[in-house]
Amino acid sequence: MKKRLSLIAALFIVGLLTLAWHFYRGKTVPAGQPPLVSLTAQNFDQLRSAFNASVGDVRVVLLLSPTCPTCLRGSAAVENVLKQNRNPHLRVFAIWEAMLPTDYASPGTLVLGRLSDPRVAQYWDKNHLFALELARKLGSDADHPQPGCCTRDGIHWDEIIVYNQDARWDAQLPRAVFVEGPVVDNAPDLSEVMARLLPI
Amino acid sequence: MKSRQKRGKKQKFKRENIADDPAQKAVELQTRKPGADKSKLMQRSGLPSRAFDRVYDSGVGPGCQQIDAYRNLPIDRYRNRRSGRLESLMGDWKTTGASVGAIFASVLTLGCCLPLPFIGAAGVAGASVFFAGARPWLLGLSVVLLGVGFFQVYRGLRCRTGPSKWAMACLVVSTFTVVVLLLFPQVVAVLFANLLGGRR
Repeated sequence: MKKRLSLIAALFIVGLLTLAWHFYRGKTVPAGQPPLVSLTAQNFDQLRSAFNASVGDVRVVLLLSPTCPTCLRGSAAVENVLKQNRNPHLRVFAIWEAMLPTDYASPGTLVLGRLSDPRVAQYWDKNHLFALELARKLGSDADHPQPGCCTRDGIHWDEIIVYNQDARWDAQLPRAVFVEGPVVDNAPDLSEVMARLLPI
Repeated sequence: MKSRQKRGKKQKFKRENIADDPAQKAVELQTRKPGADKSKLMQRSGLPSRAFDRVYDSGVGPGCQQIDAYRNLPIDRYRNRRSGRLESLMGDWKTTGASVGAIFASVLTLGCCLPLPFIGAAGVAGASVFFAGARPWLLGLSVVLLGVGFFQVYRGLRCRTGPSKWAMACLVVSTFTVVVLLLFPQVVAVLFANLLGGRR
């Protein structure tokens, strides 16, 4: 009995170590993308600068959680949309947020790899800095399109936000042309909006 | 009148059976008064000396006696008694129940994001919101249930009775599920996303 228990325990530990190696071997983004940036209050301007550096391009912001299966399905759906629209004047900012208790670690290679298009830049926003900025904009601009979903404790997540070519982020976020969630259900709408703004 | 006589005979027959039952005697031995004379007890039990020693020394804590009495008896036909099986099943049921409960609770933590069929069937309004909020509690519950499962196995080992293969398999599977979900939530989320049709 003891031998059997030791064998089971050994197998269990080997299994865990294999998973740990697979999961923690790195937070590598797919080829062609800038490295993953962990957003803090100090470096939040990096995101603003990257956003404004692509004035003239359509910008898509995705708010996702790395351990929410629906969000991960959404990322795969957006990846398919990007495959259909190869226009280079498009930038995608994938912002991974800590929304669930299991979101204690920044997204790993496995999660980051789900958005492999080189037009994507990925961020880890543990403190919901972008979502709070978005909430401020939605609260202050009555004409801003309002999403039908999804907030938790006032924090926006699992949403797509699309900005047109002229949008510039100064004191406040600019007005978006499309805001909706959940991502997986609204990928077809994103495709339509992109086709309208960026002819294939 | 006749039926009463028959019933009386039946009851007498049953009582005689119980009195001759070595398993019952073993239980009596285990619940012996402190300071009882060992040789007298052995004489009264009618068990062979080795079998008597095994039963006499087996129980080391409350709750062990009955399990040991049935499981440690060297007489094969008593090992396969229906009541003995029931007793062992009752012991295993607690381990298995705790293990299955742990798996269930840990899978429910993903309930905020998964279209679990039973949630739809139950028609729980706002189930997704509930499960997202209850995630930390569900994780805690799964850990507590695992603890209960391990305690059952530990108690069984103290009584020198191993748990059944089924109960051990359930415990190993539930431990693996909960540990993987706690330590590698992104891997589990990617797996679920792929299973739900979000494969890249």
